[in-house]
Amino acid sequence: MGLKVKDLYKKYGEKVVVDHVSFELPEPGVYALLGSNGAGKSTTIRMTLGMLEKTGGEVTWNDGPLNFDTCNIGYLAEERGLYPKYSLMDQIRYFGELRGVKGKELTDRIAYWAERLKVEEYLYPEKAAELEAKQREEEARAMGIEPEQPKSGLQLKKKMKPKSADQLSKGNQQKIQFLIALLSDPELIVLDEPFSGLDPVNADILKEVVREQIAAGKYIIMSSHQMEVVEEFCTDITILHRSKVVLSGNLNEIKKSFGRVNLKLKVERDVSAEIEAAGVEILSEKEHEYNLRVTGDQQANQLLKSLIEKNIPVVKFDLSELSLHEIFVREVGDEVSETEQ
Amino acid sequence: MKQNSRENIYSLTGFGKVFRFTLQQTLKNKGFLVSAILMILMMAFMKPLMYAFAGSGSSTAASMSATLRDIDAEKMCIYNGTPVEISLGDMVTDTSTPEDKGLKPENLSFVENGMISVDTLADELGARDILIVISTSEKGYKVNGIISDSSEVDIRSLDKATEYVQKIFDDVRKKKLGLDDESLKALSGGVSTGGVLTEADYKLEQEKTMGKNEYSGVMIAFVLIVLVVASLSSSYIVAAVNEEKSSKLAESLLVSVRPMALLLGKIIAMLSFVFGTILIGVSLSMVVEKIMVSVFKVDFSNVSQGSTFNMAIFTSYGVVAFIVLVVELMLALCSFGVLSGILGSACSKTEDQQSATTVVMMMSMIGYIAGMYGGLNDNLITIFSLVPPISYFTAPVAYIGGRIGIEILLTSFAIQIVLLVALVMLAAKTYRVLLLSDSSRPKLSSILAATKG
Repeated sequence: MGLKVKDLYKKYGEKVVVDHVSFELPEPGVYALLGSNGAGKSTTIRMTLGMLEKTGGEVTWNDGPLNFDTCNIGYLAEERGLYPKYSLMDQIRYFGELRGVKGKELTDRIAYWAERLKVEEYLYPEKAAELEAKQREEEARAMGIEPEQPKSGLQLKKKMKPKSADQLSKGNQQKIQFLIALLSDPELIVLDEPFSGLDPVNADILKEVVREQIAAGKYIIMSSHQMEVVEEFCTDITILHRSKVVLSGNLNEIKKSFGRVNLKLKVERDVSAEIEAAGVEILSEKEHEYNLRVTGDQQANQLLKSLIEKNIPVVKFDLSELSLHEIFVREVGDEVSETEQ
Repeated sequence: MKQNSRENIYSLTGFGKVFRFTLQQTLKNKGFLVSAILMILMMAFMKPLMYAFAGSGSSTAASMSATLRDIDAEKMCIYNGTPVEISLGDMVTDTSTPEDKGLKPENLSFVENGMISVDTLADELGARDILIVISTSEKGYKVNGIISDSSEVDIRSLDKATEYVQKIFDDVRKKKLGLDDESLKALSGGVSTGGVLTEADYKLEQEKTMGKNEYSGVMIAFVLIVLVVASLSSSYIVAAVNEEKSSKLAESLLVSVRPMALLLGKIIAMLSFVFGTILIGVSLSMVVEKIMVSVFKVDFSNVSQGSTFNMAIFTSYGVVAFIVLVVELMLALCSFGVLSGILGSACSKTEDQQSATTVVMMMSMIGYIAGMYGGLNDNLITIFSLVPPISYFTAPVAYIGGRIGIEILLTSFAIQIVLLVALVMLAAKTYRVLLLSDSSRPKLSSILAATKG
C-alpha cells in the first residue's frame, strides 16, 4: 500500500537523467528526495506524478497506477507561478474545479485556507476595504477627531477591485500557490522547495500547516536544499547524485550508521597538543571551543580521559551524530565541487 | 503502467473547464476586447467605406465607358438569352460614331432568345466578327464575348465590346424594373462579364457558375478572409498556449488536467473568440448594408467582391456554398490553430512567441499567394485544391465557381481532415514534453524529439 517507486529510469537520447531510482512510502509521513542541482530530482518527481513518460520503471499508488484519477495529488512545484494578470480568486477557483472541488465546498475551502494562510485581504478585497475603513474610524474616534469621510465611489471601486498575482509580493504569491496545492485536500502532497524565499513569519505559517497535514495522515514527498527543514520534518530520505541513488533509508538509521563522530569540546586553555596526540581531527577552533571529528565513541572517550588525567577542566563535551547537511556533503559534496570546478 | 500513460494522452477530461476559463479570461482582457471591437468595426464598415472610395472612381469609369468607336470589328451580334426585354434600338446609344474608326451602328445585329442557338451563331462568326451573349446566371446576369478560333479581332476590342453591352444592358434592365425592394435586390445582384473567349473555350465555360471577374473577386475575398482570420487566431493561440509556460504553471496544471484537454481547451476557446468576433462582424455588416440599401438607397454593385474584407461571399451563393465556405474556414482555422498550439508550447518566453507566429504566418502566406494566383488558373486549380495549406484558400471557391467538382472538393476536405487529425495526434504526443522543456524557440528537431517522450 502507499506509494511505491521502483526502478524509475529516464533517458534523453544517450543521456541517462534518472538511473533506476526506487523508494517507497508505505505509510503516511514525510519522505525527502534530496540531491545536488541537476541530480534528477525534478525529473523523478515529474515521472512519479505522470507528467513525463518513463523510459522504464514502475510507480504504484495503493498497488494500482498513480495518476490524478487514482490519487488526489497536491503539488507545489519548484518552477511555480500564477497567471500574473488574472484575478487571484478566478485562478484559485479554476484550479479547484480542475481538481474536482466545486460550488459551496470550493468557496468554503478557499475561505478556510485564505484565513489559515493569512491571505484574506488579497482574495476578499471588499472585506479588507471594509475592515480598513472601520479601523480608521475607530482610530479617529479614539484620538477624538472627526472620522474621515468614506472614500468616493471610484476610489472605493479601485480598492475593492479583485487582486491579481502581479500585485502580490513573492512570499504572498507562494502562499497562494500553497493554498492551491492543498485546496483539494490531497492524499499525496509533493512539496518542492516549499519554504525557499519565505520570511521567517511566513515560513512558520507554512511549517505549521505541514505539521497539520502530517498529523492528518498525509503522504508527503519533500524536496529541499534546506537540510534543517528536511531534518525537522522527514523520517526517510533518498539522496540522488548524477541521476543515481547514493543513499536511501530511514534518516535515524542512516545517521546511526555513520556513528557519533562530531565532538564539540570547550575547555579553559589551549589543548591542541592533547587533541593531536589523541589523533583527533580539528575542524574549527574559537577561544578554546573546538569542533572535532572523531572516529567514534572510543576515540572520544580516550581524549576525554587524557584531558581529565592532565587536570584540564572540561566545560563542554558533546558527542553527536553527523547532521543531514554533513551526510549530504559527504555523499555528494566532493564530486559536486569537482564538477563545479 | 506505460500502456496506461499512453492511453491517457488523448483523454479530454477537464477540456470544458479549461475552455470556459480561457474564454472568460479572454473576454475580461482589455487588449483582446479592443482588437475584437476594431475587427468588428472594420468588417461592418469596410463595404460602405469601399463604396465611398469606389463612388468617385465609378463616376470616372462612367465617363470613360466603352463606345462603339472603341470596338475594332466588322460586325457584332448581340444574343439576348434573358427575359429582360431589350431591342436593337436600345443598343445603339451613340450614332455619331465617325465612319473611319470603330464599329458602325448599322453593323450591329440583335437576336432574341430562342430564335437561333448560340452554337449556330458562334459557328457563323467571321474573322472580324464578335458575338456577345447575355445570359442569366445564378446570381444575376452574365455577358460573354465570343470570337471565332481564327479571329483577327484584338482582345482589347472584345473586352470593350462586352463592357459596352454590359453597361447598356444594365441601364436598360434598370429602366424596365420598378424600384421596389425586389427590384433593388435584383439590381444589387449586378451584372458580370464572363471574360473573353474563343468558341472552344465557351463550351468549357458553360460548366462554370461564375464569370471570371466574379470568380476572381470571390477568390480574393475568401483568401483574404482566411489569411486575416488565420493570422489573428494564430497569434492569439500562441500567446494563450504559451501563457502556462511563461507563468511557470505547467507543472501545477499537469497534475490536474490531461495535456490534450489543456491544449485543445485553450485552442478551441481562442477559436471561439475569433469565430464569435467574425459572427458579430458579419451580422453587423449585413445590418449596415441593409440600412445603407433601404434607407440611403446605396447600390453596392460598384464595389468589387475582392477589394474588401467581404463577408457577403458567405451568404451570396446559397446554402451549399455557405456550408462549404464555413466548413473550409473551420478546417483551416483548426489546422492553423493546432499548429500554433504546438509551436506555442515550444516557446519558453513571451519574446519567443514571434517566431512561432511567424511560422504560421509564412504557411498561411504561401497558401494566400498560391490561392491568389494559382487559384485563378484553370490548369492549376485541381492540384491546388488538393494540397494543404493552399487548398484551404482555393478549394471552396473553386467548387462554388464551378472550377472543380464535388468529388475533388470532398477529396480535398478528406485530406485536410486527415492532416488535422495528424496534427492533433502530434500535439498530444509533444505538448506535455514541450511544455516542460526549456527550448527557447520552436524548432522542428525539438518537436520531433518530443514525440519520443
